[in-house]
Amino acid sequence: MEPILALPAELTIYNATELCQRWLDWLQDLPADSTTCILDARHVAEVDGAGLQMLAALRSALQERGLAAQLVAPQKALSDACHSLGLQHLLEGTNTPVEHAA
Amino acid sequence: MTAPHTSDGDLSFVAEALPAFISEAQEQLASMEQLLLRLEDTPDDRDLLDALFRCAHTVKGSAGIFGLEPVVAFTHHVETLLDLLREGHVVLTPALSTLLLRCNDTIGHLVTQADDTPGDCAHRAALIAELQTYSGASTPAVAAAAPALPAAAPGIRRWHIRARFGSDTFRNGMDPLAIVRYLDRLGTVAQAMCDTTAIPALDQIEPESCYLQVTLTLQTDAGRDAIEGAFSFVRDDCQLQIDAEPTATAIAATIAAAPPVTATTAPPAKPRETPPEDGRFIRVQADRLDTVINLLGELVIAGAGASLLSRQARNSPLVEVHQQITRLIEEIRNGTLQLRMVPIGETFARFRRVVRDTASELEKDVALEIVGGETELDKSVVERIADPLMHLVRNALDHGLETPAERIALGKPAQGRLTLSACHESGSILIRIDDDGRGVRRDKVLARAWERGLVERGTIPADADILKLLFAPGFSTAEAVTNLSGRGVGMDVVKRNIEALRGTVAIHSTEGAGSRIEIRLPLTLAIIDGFLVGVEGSKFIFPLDAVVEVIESRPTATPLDPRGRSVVELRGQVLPVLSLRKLYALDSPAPERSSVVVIQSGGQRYGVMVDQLLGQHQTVIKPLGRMFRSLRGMSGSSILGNGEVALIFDVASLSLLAAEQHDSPTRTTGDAGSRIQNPSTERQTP
Repeated sequence: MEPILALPAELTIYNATELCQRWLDWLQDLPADSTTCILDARHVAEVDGAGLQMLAALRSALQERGLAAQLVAPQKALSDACHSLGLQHLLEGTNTPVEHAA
Repeated sequence: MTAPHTSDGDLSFVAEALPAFISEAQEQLASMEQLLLRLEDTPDDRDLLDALFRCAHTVKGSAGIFGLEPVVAFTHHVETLLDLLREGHVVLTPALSTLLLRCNDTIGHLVTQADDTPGDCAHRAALIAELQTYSGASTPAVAAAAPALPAAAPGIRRWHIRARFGSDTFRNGMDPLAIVRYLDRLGTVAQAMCDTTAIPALDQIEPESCYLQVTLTLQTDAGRDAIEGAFSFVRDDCQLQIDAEPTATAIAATIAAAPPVTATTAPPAKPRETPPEDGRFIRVQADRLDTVINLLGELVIAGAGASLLSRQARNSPLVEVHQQITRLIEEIRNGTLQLRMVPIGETFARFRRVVRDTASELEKDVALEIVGGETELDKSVVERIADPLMHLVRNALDHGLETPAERIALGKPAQGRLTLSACHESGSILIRIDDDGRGVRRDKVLARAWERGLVERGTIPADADILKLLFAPGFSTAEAVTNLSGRGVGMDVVKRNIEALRGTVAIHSTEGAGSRIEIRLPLTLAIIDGFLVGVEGSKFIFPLDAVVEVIESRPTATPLDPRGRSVVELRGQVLPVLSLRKLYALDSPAPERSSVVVIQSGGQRYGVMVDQLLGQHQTVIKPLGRMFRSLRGMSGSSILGNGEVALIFDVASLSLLAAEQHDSPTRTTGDAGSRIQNPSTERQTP
């Protein structure tokens, strides 16, 4: 089964340092033979520039390890933020249509 | 980089760049004129309307940098109307076209005139009022905006914003995302791009440092201040660059502000929104090019001299090298002369306006057709032919073409036709001015010639000679002298000017059906390919393009007449021949063998009997010295490799000379004859 990384509800400056450490640990524990992984974005409800910057860093780290990452179920907060800042590519590999919260 | 030119540095920049601005503005205005005239045929051509608007906009923008307020203010009104035109709110009528042409002239006047008289102001105010009548007649919404002043009408513009945020941005409680969202409320963020290359790897990143660099395209009616305001809290450690869409105004402002801008905020080289032509042309001062061509002439002569020496030394490797050098010089020559070649179309295009204005002044309806505008000829010839052409065109409009009423009465279409055409013909350029007007009335011309004493009363010259009288000094056939085509002093001046260019002018006319004026000009005044021949010890050059073939001399059908004329038979046809030996009285016995060079001049062929054929020769044309001005049949001289002087034939006048009645044979020989017999090694000073 593909490794799954659940993204937190908040992707902001306030938890950026903590996220960084958590993601590094997660990457370390990945099975050596993994080629794909899933970034589960369904809970992400609050995003800022620092959070997007962290997500971009995570994406590059995965790519560097040869892991194809699939971002699933991004909510409006995340997709809007990505579009506003011109970081649409972070949403690439999204297999679930964006669910726009009312 | 907001306000144009305030510092001393900017002022000196302005002073230096002003001549370039004036020259470019004049080009833009010339384009506008051409566009307006073309639009008269296709008033709703969107591309032309767009181009027209851009021209006006460019002039206004550039004038703004140079602080030419009257230009900016006036052009703004024109631009406003042009905008309405291209949006289809106003239709381009002939009256509006006339108004815009007048406005164009006014802008041209403003650009070149630094001073501003009250009379000019009143004239402009009247034009502005007219422009506003048209603007006001369009949609109410636009009409309200139209009379606004330049500063109050920026409208929605596109801005390109690039921001590299400082590393402490997040720690200072700021967020680039929030700034972009704020900008999105100022207008519309049409495009956003984030450069993430500066973000370090996850194991090296400082999560609270900001590494983001954002590029945005914003459409807004807000000004630069408002956009900068969005960045006010991050301004200290943010590298920010805000550029309005590179319209001409923006480009100009960037140029004007360039010197005082510091390195951190200096805009990187941006692709400028200029027409592609700009990249394909280099402006070169004409006199620099002339210097190169003069030097090239010297090089051709020196090369010929070196080549001759190597042949005399019978050193075959040296001869070979010289042959190669000669070939290269020839290529350079062709390439360099090509640099001076310009299409005649630009000169022709100027006549559109002349025809339009003159025709309306004379209450005539005339369509101008231009054919062969791409035909190229030497720039110096183009410059010097413009005035004679102008005169001939006006003449055709004034005297040649009838009024619509007269034309209809004659069963012709109401609209007269005037055609300007150009083409290359055997090494020269042929310019024709055709009209379908009333033609030349021979009886009137003759009556006038008798009256003026140009022809003895009662004698009736040949038809072609009657037409030639039109070019006689002090001749005018118009019953009422108009202020348009002059007072009859022009045609002889026209002829003189054309002849000064080694050209010829002829008129053909059919009464009632129209006239054709043919001007034949050499392509260049500098260097030609020549065909070198020898008669006795003298050398002569024919323009190579005029040489059709060379045949062995054969017995003439009749003995040579005193001017050296006779005929020979060539492939069953009679070919008139001319003996240079006889014509120029080179008294020496004819050699055993001689040749006939067959020359094509205009529509006729004739042969010239010569002793030696010396082959093709790169001929640098030097003017004839004062002593030889009276020598007919010659157009110039050239210096050969060995320092000898060769005379260059003007094939057209040589044929005329040969055809003339035998009356004064000494006129052509005289002192020139002795000179030809003793070719001197001294070089003639041009």
